[in-house]
Amino acid sequence: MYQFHNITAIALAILFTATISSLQAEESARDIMVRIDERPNGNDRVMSMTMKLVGKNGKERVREMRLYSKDYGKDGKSLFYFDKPADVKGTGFLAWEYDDQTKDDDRWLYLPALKQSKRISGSSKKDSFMGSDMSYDDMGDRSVDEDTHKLLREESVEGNECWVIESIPKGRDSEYSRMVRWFRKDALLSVKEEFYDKKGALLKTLRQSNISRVGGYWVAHTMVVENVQDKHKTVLELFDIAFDTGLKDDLFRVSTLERGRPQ
Amino acid sequence: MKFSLRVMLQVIGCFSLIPADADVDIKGYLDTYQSIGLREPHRFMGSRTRIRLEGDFSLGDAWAFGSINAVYNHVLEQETGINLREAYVGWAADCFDLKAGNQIIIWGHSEGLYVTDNISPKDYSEALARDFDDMRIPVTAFRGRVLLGMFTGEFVWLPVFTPAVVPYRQKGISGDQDENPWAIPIDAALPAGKSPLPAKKLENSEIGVKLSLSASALDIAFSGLYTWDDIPVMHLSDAGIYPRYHRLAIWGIDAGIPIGIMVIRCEAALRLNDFFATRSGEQKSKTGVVGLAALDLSPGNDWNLSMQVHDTYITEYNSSFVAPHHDAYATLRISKELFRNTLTLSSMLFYGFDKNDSYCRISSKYALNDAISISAGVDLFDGKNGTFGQYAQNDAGFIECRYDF
Repeated sequence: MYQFHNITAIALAILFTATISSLQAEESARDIMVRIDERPNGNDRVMSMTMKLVGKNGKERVREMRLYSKDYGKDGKSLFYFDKPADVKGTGFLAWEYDDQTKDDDRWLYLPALKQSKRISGSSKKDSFMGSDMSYDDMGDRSVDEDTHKLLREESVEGNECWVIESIPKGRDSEYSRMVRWFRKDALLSVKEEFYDKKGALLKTLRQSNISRVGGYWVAHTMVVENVQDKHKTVLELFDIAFDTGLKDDLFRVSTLERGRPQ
Repeated sequence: MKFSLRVMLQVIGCFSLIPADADVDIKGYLDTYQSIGLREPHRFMGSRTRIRLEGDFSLGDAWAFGSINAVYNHVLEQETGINLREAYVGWAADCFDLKAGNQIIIWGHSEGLYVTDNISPKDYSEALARDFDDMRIPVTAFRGRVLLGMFTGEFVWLPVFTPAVVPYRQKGISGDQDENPWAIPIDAALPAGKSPLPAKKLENSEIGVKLSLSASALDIAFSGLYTWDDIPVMHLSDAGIYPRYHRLAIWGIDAGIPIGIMVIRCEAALRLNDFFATRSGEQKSKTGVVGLAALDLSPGNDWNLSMQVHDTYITEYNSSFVAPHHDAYATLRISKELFRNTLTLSSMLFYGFDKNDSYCRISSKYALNDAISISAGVDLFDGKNGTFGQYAQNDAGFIECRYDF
């Protein structure tokens, strides 16, 4: 009897210790994600982006755009204009994004043919961004507490020490059941990400490369997103990047968007 | 055929004024649209090929924009030619911007139905065989905006009146609209007089003011426009019909409110001195109230839905009016993008409650690559009369190819 009590006590102690360890690991993973979320990336940024869509038959489509973004505390405003393809050249997109999960982002689309902006709804985040392998949700800044995070292990990827973190969406609105990401400890940037669909099967992978400092901030210049289920790929190249350029608040208003030029 | 040497000289003259260090951006497209009737004798409902060139030249805070169309129209020969569409100069500072010249100005956010969008008149030459965007006629205008944070104040001055283009065809009398399947027949027994345009005087110019707010979760604008009715009122006299343009004052409001996957749009206009025909042929001036309520839905998976209800209400109404007390229309647009936005399937339905008539365009658009797209579809009309019913014989299938450069 005594022995049974002893075993029970030991088992409870082990279970308690394991639970505490698990909680600490989860807390640690969340802390890492907060650090990553708060990674310094300037108060504002300007860059050009080429987005190449590659079909499984190798056929390519190319989009080019110029991006402007500015932080307002945890909220942010971004503006971009398309340069390619020709039929959407001059199309502008303005977004005011909020950290508050209960508040929808504000979005406007500027169509040069109409020389007018149009408000669009903020919630169809699962839709593909311009036919790419990324959804609007992938392009946005996901709040840390929208997912539960777990540090799986630490390992080296191409000579860089990384945390491997699993994130599981808390709500049902995500298109993924879980994400596994490899974050470089020095740059606080992911080098590899895996996205699993609702059935638990691998859906997409992301690889970031050409990581270097620009103006003191870490930047991944090349991103490759591949949908492994339909063999489609999106290659993003960032260039002409500048941080802390002193972008004016006026740039991110609807009336400026309607000028059809970032002026 | 429209071919203006003056237009070409204007364009060449404009190019010669561009400083060597200006940023020059040229783009355009070549498109061809062919539409054939589904009913005997299967005539062309539209057949045109067009080259559009657009040039944007910027230097510091100033810029100039010009667009030109070169069109070959197989059905309407009078539409064949080269014409300058927009040509304006602009200047922008932090808190204001100015634009002067030939330009398209759009107020309001309704789609295919007009409430506060009364500045650029419409060209109905090919009616529904032309895109809504192509129907707008540029106006000669000076436009100034003051930009203060989320608020924008706008002032518009149109020194010269530009009328709408309506393809009237007199019954039994041969004219340039004989081959136009979209022409609107008017009674030949009453000789139509020419519509005298308002004289080019300062007091005949048009002015408009708009104050808008674009804030989180709300866009709202209030507008006032002192204008001319773009379509002449057909007055009746012993000598016959004499068309006449009238002054019109329009007070408007439009709003857009996003709620989750929806955007609710509302638009209303009070039209003072609007004319309505009576059964005796007399035209009476009344106040018209036009309203629109709309819902745009983006439920995800690249589906988009848009519903609009539009109503024109005549104040101090009596049974002598030809138009109903409430003249209501509804639209429904559904579209779905497939294969990573390369294929778009869409359907747009217009329905007139008073005449129980309708128009439905079902179309598909496929992007062969980044430059070339092909569209195909059908235009279906139903009803005995009314805005859409009058074209009940014009059911057509169409194909459109476009190359962007």
